Amino acid sequence: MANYAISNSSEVSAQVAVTTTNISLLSMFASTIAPAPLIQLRRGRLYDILVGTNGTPADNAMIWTVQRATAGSTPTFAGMLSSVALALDPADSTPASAVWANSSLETAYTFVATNIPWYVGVNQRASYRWVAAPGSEILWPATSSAGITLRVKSPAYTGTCAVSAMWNE
Amino acid sequence: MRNPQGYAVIVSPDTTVVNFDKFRCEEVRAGTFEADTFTCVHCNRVIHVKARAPIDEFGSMCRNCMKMVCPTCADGPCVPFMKKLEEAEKKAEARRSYGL
Repeated sequence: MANYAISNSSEVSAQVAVTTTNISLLSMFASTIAPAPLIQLRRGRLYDILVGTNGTPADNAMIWTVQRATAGSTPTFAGMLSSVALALDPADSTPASAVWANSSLETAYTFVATNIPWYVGVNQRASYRWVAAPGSEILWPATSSAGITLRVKSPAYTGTCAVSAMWNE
Repeated sequence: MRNPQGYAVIVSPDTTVVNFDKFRCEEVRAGTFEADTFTCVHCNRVIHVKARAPIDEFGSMCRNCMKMVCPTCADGPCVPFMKKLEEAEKKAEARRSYGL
């Protein structure tokens, strides 16, 4: 099993401003749309989440969630990262999961409204990290287009966020 | 928590109120706040554990699989999340084999 990491760095694609509705900062899906020759379905395990903001400090509420979703059949939006080497061990191959950062097209996903495996509401000034013990990760099945997204919304904050996630598959 | 299944850290320059898991709000003092977490064996949800709180306040233990479950799953049947995953994968495999 190989470990992978991804962040929504602006060096990858332009960071999306937070709004009052959820936006997906990172998305990981078991998918056959990963670049060849990695077209295979694998079960994923999210084991590390690190979230924070990189805008002007202020007191605003931030709602962070990990939500289960289904990716659209032809997600063509910018920021697909599966072709970028993300393996923590350089000897490992690139991930089989389809991975996106800074999605600006929420309509490309179908969200399961009640299926939120991780939820934290915290002040904009605070940063948060969660690490799972082995065997207690957030899982997604090895079925095509099934996966999870790390989302954020805020009633007042309109800046950008810096998030990182690590998973294995 | 004796055998935590995860670990959360919040670093905040000011005292802040944190909403954990949509279940409870807690005031967190400035500096570093740490909490253990567990992952519900039935729905895969991450639950933050309040220090020294009784188990009924943040979840329960399934008497069938003897694992921690979240408050939402506490009254439900024992269907482990791994079983749900395997069923979903079997269904998808069957659909693929039929060319659907």
